[in-house]
Amino acid sequence: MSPKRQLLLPFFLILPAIIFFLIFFALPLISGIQTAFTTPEGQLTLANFEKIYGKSFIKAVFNTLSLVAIIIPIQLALALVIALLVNTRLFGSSKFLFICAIPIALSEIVAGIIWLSIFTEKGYLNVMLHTLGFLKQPAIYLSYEEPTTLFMTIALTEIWRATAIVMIIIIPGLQMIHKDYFDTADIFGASRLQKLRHVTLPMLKPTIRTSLIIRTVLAFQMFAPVLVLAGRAFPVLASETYRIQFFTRNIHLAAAYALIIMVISTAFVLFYMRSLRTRWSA
Amino acid sequence: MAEVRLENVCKSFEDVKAVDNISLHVRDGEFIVLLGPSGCGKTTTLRCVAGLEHVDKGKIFIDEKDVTDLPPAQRGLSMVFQSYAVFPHMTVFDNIAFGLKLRKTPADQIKEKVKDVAGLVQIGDLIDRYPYQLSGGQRQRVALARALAIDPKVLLLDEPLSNLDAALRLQMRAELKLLQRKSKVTTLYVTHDQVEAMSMGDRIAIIRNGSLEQVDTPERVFNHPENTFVGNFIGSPPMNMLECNIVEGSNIAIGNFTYKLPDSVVKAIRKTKTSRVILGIRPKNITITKDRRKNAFRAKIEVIEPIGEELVVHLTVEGKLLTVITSPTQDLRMGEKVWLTPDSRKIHIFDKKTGKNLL
Amino acid sequence: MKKQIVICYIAMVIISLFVLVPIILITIGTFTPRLELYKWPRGLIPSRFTSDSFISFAQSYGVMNGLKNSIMVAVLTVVFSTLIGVPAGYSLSRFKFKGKSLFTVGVLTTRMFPIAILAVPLVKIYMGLGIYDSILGVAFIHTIFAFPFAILISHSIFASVPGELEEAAMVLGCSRLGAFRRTTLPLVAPGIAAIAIFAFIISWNEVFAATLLTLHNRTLPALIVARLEATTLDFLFASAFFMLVPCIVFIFIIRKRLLRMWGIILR
Repeated sequence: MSPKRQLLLPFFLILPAIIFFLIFFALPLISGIQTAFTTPEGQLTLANFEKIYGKSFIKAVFNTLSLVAIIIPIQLALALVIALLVNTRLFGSSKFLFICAIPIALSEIVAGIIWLSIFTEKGYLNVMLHTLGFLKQPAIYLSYEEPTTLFMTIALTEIWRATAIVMIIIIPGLQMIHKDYFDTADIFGASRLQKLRHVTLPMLKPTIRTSLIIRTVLAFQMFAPVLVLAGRAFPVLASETYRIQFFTRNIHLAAAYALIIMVISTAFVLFYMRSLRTRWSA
Repeated sequence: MAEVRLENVCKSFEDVKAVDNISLHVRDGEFIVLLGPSGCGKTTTLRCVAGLEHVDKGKIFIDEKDVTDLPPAQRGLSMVFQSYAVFPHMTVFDNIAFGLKLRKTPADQIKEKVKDVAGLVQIGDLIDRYPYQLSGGQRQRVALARALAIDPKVLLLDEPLSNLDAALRLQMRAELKLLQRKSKVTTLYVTHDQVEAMSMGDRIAIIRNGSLEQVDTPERVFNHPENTFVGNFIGSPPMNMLECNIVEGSNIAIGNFTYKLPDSVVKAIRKTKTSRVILGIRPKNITITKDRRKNAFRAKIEVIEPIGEELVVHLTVEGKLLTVITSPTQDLRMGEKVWLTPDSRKIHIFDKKTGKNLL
Repeated sequence: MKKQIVICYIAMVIISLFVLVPIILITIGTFTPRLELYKWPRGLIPSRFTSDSFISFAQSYGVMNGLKNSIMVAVLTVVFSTLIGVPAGYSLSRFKFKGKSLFTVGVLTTRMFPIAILAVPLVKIYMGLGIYDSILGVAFIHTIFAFPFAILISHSIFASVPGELEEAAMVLGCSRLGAFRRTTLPLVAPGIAAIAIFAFIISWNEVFAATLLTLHNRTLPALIVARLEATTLDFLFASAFFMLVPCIVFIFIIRKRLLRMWGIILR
């Protein structure tokens, strides 16, 4: 191979990725932003945003933000607990890790249906409660008349499904903390809790940051579990986007919705990146 | 300031005996070096003293108190790790104060102590910096200050200088030694570098495959190695080890040559039944001459290394390799045949089978 | 100390049950006769196990088609993301070049944008290109999700195989490609297979874009979403079971490699 070709080889190898990125990422992104600000006739306008603003929009924003606010801290805490348990290297901890990782292989819609089978009127939760004698008649969880229980079932489903995603980012981060730091804490007499507070958590900050970013972006895309469990009774941003696109066929409105999702999601990402910034690197 | 005593300490990992029945008495205020090749068990021994590893058998005493079952923090000791383990998310001040804060020392006392200790290791002006702003050597001092801040009875150091460059290492060797002299804290220091051990230790404990080979002052370890391993390990270039036979009780046969052993040596080896021995002599204790001397033997120069202040000469005697260090003023050529005269006062005779020094 | 170990085990058991029980429940539900699913009161274990729900699901209108589409989309996704990702990962691990960090950052940012902002505009773009409601179109957007993983993971896989092996082969006379084929490829093949399986699973499971970008040529998840309002529980349960079994089997097969891929050290 001639020297000049040799020099260009690394670029050739990443060229397909770059082309793909441009056509199927950059292009739709720009087109999407553009579409959100144009009318079907092609004029620049903010009318799309005016049109989607309304009761269901506000509800969708509120619902999505509430879900994110509740689900993510719980998932983070749960993932940390799992990571610490796995790190004990007790017998069976690796089997435990495999089990906790299973939900990664499951589709959101599968997760939604699984928890539907539990929370539906004649589902397994009611069956268990009835068998234990707590219920005579089935309780209704998934109805628009019970917004709080609806919220909790969706939250539970998402926690069940997506904690694994946070976990597989946190565990390697935890394992990368050099043992010497923990030994040092032992030498100076730190208790388990003190080690967690002064060594583990601070040094885990970059990892937590990454996992929060990834999980939050995914959380704003919540779609299938909500549809399965609540249908239209509990609108969230992604399901509303889908609904607008499919039933009004007005792609400009849908694009406006999508843009709003992106803006809120990106705001969170930037917030994480600033507030969880560390000047040091492991 | 305390004595440290290890009694028959054993520690295994899976099937490997990392520490094999080590007994050691470290005196109050002593600077003892645990020296040995990689994987010999010196770090594991140190960690057993620290309480970071639980011993399988044996006991550890600090200041006559049995600490074998006590966690590290209750043993009254402190440790500096090879990686320093300086917390990256804390300032130098917070790092040094770490142990004090855990002991719930009042804030003003902490401030005083940190200032003192930081001054002791000369990082007083770096107190508010973060580790990522410091060099490796500065971080090491932070680790040291942190260890000293709690006024430990015993200080443990695990290869603290191995991540430093050569010049800094030299400087830190002297500083550490001085620091220890001033603070008088009993210190256990692990290293694989025998020069470090020789220059810093009041005594050196040489460990191989989990057991103690010899525990002595640097001078004795150098001049009176108890076996071939110690003789070989200490000193650079290593001691020459020549396999030979004792002939007629008072001579050594090296090929066609006979070397007459001095009377003191003859007397000492009289009890040995074996005649197969190893003659040990350090490169500096052999003289090269062009003309034959009394009790000399013939050798051929293979390689000459002029390293500035000295001449390192590699020769063969009856097919066996020898190294001699001599002055560069000697005019020697590769391939030349010369005569070697060992200094009879500096000879060691080791039993070939056991490796033990027969003198 | 003992007490703390017991607490750890209790926690592990509770969390494991939390993960496993719902999966067991859906399995039971899939093999429960439909009528019993709607009966009240009813027991946890059905009076008899039946595969009727499962069979009627498989025979339902559109399901076999949906299955076919899902598989084809997933296979295409695997092919595209491997072809794009592996050379890029190789390039990142072996060469230093200007713009390398820019490229890496660019790859990572694709993960920071919600799918909606890509899927919605693609509806219009695909219509223009004539690939709306096509397997190819869905495969393209699935590749956008999968190829960053492919790049990053193949990057670390190649990084773990020293470049000196290839250089030695080249010194002995191989071309770069030949050296790669003979020395590195056999060593990274299992890792690449794991990337392929992971990409397959990502595509197989994806719901939102597939739903938005198809009409008649639906993948399985899109099909289920479209039928949500108008279908019975047994259909849903069977569909969920049908979708999850291959994934769990796959992930079980590559479980050790998967964890290594994510950088998790086991024991």
